Amino acid sequence: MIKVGVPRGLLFYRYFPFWDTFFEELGTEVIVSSPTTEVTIRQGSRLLPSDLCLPVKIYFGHIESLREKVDFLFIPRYISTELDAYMCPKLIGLPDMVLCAIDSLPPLIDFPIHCKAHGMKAEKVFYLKVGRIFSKNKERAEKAYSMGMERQSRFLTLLQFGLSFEEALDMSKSPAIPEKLKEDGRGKLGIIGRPYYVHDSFLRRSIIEQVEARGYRLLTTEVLSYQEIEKGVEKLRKRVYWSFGKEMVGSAIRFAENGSIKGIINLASFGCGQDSFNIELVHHYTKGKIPILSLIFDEHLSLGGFSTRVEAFLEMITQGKDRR
Amino acid sequence: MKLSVPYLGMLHKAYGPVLENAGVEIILPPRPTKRTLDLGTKHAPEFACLPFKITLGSMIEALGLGADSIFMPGGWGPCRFGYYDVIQEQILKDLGYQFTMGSAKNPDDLRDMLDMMQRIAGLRSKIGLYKLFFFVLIRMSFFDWALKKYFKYKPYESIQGKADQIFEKGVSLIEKSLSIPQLLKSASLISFWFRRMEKRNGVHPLRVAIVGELFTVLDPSANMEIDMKLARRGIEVLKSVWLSDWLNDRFRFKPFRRNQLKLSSKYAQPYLRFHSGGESIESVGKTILFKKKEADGVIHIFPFTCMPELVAQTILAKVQKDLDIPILTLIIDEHTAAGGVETRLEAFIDLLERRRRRR
Repeated sequence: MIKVGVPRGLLFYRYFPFWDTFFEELGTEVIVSSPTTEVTIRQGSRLLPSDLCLPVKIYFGHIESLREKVDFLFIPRYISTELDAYMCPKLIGLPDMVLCAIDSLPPLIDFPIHCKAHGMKAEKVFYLKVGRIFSKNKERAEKAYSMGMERQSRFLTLLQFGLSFEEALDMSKSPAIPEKLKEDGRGKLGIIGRPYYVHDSFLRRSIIEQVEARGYRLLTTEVLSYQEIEKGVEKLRKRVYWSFGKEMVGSAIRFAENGSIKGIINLASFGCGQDSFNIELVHHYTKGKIPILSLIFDEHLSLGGFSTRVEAFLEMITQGKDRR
Repeated sequence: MKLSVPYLGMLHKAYGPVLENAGVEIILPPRPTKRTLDLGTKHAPEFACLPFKITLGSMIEALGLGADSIFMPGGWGPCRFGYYDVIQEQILKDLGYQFTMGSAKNPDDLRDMLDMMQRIAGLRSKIGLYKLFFFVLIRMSFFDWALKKYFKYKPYESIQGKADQIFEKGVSLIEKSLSIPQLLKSASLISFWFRRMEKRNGVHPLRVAIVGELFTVLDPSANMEIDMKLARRGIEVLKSVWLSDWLNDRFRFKPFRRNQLKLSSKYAQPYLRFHSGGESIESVGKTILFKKKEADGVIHIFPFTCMPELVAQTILAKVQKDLDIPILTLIIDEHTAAGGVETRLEAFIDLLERRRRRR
């Protein structure tokens, strides 16, 4: 069977359920690199200029661990998935960076997806193009596409229910969708950060466990539907033209408006160009409404640093609640 | 209406006299210095890029001098430049300044841009505005042309400082020319002066190209004047981006000049197949083009945390190996000291000279 390698990084944390089903339906074996470790970071950092952000370095580390085991590497070039928003420039240049930084690679699947230029159908066109590599039968590719879409929408629904990435990934395999989780009366905290920070257990460290040990639930930006995020960014003078940036700003504004959410944790990468502006917008539009803790990671991050600050933040929120 | 526009290379020389002639009052803050940058850094987000901080500092200085409108074009990504105007307005208003921020919804669109300029400059006639706008663009191209000439002739001067004199005289001449015939006359004069300048014979100057992000390539406050420093050492300087070309790619005021973005992307194809924002594809494409034009070395300069240029940097590492062209990467932020840059520049020039001799 043909093996398609998917590095566990960047957009993996948003689109993997789709890719998984899609490639399986096409009769290929999907091979995912193992979760991020120190070694991944070390391998990635060696390949790239030091100023690039950590998630990209991690991605390169994953490619490095995969490249000898697979027949194809799936590194799509996501330029835009919406009509008026781009991805990060680093994602736009990703396949070119991979080709320039790593030698002896298997063939890449690196077609572009550019909805801003070609309309929303660009996504389907892209996947049909990918399908053509593995199967001459066009119908098969179309079927794989629609199966993938179904799984992806189940996955996103599950995330909206507040499940974790791993749970949602598992449960979305079966077509039955569980009932919406009941509100359990626990206090809530929001975490705004790209999916590839928040769902990478190496980057987020033990934030989730820590928050839950204190009796809070942690909500990611994905619990909000697209429409709700749009409603959040309505107020801005100019639309944020980065997809993940919009998600971050929109969800922070919605979290602040929602009275039951007690605080926001902002997980960000050192030197991230977009987040420097997005967090400025978040601070401006949520001023005085909700406490925000910014945690910035880089390749030298230590476990202790985060947990002390999260602990202090939780302490502050709990005490503030008691006083009121 | 007291208008202020942040500095970008020689742009202020191009629009200043023209707009003043049209009755717009212009507030020109002092050229950005360390103080400007400190002001900007103090109020800007930590990881904002250097051009953001310098222009923000410049705006604060202009507002202190009494400006009540600021022009910042804006844009639509994926580079951060398109969002400058919003964040800067937000920061300045939070600081308590009262002013109008002029920014176009889509600055690549001529009509949108001009609507905004009409509003901000308070001009009445629409046709007059079109004329004025294109005249500013044409003037800009003459300034760029003069600087290109200077870079070309400077290495050959036999009397120290002669080329600088001609350049300065030329710039002030262009500055005073307020019609196209006058501009052409000034240009022929400048070109005559340069041709008549006494030259050394048998000189084969090094050719060094400066590629990278627009602001750092063009503005002396951001690039520590590396272009002038190189020129003074008798090196021929090439640049990947010029403001007039950048504007010409958008507004096509020079019909016979090639679209530089398309040209660069043609050359960049083997390495960078898609434009990933900012000047990334120009940095890659022009590096390859300059290698063809026999440049000895390339200096890649960009601000710290610049997203598109980091892509370009990764790719240039490969280009450097493949094409055997030395590349010096200079990443500039508010902590960069001119002395450090100078040392690296010297070492780089030494390396280029040695390579030259070996051949």
